[in-house]
Amino acid sequence: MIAIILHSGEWDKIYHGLSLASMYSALEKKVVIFLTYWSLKTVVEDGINCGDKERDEIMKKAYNDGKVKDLTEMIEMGKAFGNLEIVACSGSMEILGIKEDDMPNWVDRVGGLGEILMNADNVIFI
Amino acid sequence: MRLKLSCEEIEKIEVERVLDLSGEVCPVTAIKTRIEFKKLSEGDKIKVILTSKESAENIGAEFRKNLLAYCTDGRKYILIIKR
Repeated sequence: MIAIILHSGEWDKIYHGLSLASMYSALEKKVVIFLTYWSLKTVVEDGINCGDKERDEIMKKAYNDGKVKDLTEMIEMGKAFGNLEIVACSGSMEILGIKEDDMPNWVDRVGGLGEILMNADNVIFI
Repeated sequence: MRLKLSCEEIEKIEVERVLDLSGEVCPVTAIKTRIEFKKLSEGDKIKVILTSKESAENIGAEFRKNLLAYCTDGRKYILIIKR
């Protein structure tokens, strides 16, 4: 299994991480997105915030041109292959005070770092 | 059959599915093509329509064993992929 650990809350990095996950899933590879720290905050909020004015403008234009999708659509494409699971990090949720029902329904479950790393052959950190 | 045809010849090829990805770019083009390809049964053909040259090349390479024919016409690219 490939674990993609999302730390950053920057929208473009999260979108890129989800694109990797969906492509792995499309290529029939088992993949887990592990939402940690600031990525949890971003998925709970709406809007494209890359933490940089210029990147915000570029990503918003790409979104309006249909070249970039919203997080939910990118995830649904990956889930269509049945190889993608999205896990929220219980530790980060405690630190950020985020509760399970704050999260979008495409988050499959809450989990811990140990079980993720135990099953991961490769880890990608974003 | 030669791989590269005119788009008029391509339009004559009977296909079971059509996937219009006009305006879409990587990685959406690649992922959506795989979603539809997976739904084909053995021997079925799908026509994929693209306006992104890079995506057409990527998909052509990714599916080279299944690529039956393709055409380009200005900013339009059509690939016929057979399962």
